[in-house]
Amino acid sequence: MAVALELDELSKKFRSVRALDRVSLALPPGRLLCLVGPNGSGKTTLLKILAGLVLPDSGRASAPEPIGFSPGEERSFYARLSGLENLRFFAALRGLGAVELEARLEELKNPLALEDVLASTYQKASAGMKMKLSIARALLHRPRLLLLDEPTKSLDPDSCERIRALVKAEYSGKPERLALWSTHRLEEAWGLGTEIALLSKGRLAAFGTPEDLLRRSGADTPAGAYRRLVS
Amino acid sequence: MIPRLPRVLYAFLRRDALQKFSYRTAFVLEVVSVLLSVATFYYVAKLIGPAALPALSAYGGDYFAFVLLGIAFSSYQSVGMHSFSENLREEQVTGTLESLLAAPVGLPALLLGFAQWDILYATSQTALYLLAGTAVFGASFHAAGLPAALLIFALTLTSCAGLGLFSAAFILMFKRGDPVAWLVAAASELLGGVYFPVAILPDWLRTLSLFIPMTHSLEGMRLALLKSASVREVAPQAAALALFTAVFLPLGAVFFRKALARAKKDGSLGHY
Repeated sequence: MAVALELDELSKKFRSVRALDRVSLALPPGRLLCLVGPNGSGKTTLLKILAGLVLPDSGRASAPEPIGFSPGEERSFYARLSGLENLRFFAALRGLGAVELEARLEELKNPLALEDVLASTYQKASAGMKMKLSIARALLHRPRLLLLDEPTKSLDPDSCERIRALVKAEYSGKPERLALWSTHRLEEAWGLGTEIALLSKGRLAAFGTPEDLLRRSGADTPAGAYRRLVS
Repeated sequence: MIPRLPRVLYAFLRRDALQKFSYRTAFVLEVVSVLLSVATFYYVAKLIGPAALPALSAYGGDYFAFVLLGIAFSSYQSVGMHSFSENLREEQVTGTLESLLAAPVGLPALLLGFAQWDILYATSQTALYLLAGTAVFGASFHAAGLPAALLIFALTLTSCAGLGLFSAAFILMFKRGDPVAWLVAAASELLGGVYFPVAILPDWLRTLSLFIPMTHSLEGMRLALLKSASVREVAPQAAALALFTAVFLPLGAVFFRKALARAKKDGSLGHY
């Protein structure tokens, strides 16, 4: 099996808080891994290590490049620029020219419903519009590794569905591509992920396909599986 | 895809111009404050009597032209010293620093991107100072000294950029309270020769002033633009600034990289 993502005994501590504790897993390309776990379980830390924004204390992570990262925070754009100006800037930092950006935005505009946020000043955009812009930025350069930190947390159900479909279409089953998606929504993880990693207090509590996890836990529902495997 | 440097620099320039011009009133007020400052020093210069002439004779004897060059070109030290740290601080506060560092852009390109708007802006401000000083208040400068002035200008930026990297490293580690910028700015006010020739200072202060880039920078600029000095004639000042560059630029770069690694280790890149 060709491995696209490999985490080997990855550990990270912030002062006395253990954010990741010897996390190991391997994934082939074409997979969509959902990271699920309570607050403080290490999901964001793992994504930031893969994005190169946090250094692990020990262990090793190898992942494909380039990377597209959508942080969970709202504040990651320039408030006084429009959505389009913001994307132009970040696209240039990823080597995309105006023509390539235009073409890519045509592909992303409808599934992400970007029309309004592209035209308006970022500071006037709603939380949901800001999140869509962040997802668009992560996808712009067709990264081989896509990292999305709770991408649907401030979105309406219809937008959530469209974004799941978009990421699934661009990543699931695609050779040389891989996506990691962190979420608190169990139904989302079980419906979307080709694999699920359940994190608890920095440890990998369980890892497998959605069906595997249901079978191993003996539960009928994602909520039941989550409770049994994480506790 | 690794972006090419010109594309990255253009993107930063465009971003900064859009942001700067979105605050139109502030922009207009900054222009007005330059004009008021020039007028203020014009009238202060009228009070400077013949007693000051010996100290000013090395610079042509005109206090207005002397101080105008001082305040105009001291902004370049400010750019070199503060541009990296202030831009980093702003990215921390607006929450965009992590998004910038997640892009496949090298640190030198990123830092250059931070500084280029400030350099252009300081240049236009300097031009405005000199234009208002000459066109409205009759100061005169010698175009023959331009090659020497350009050399001093370039070396001022590189020598101060080294200190600026130390300053930026402090911002990455402690977020606020950068002692390097504070110390150099405070010392430059007194010792750099912005408002008066360093020659009037007591010996021990004059010796201390040699350890500040601005002293050499302003001396070189004034000799070039007030006395038509050639490149060869400003060689001592250029050599001092080159020495600052050779010492502080590599040290600052190492210190900055270490501070960045520490912030990544602490997970504090996005903190402010």
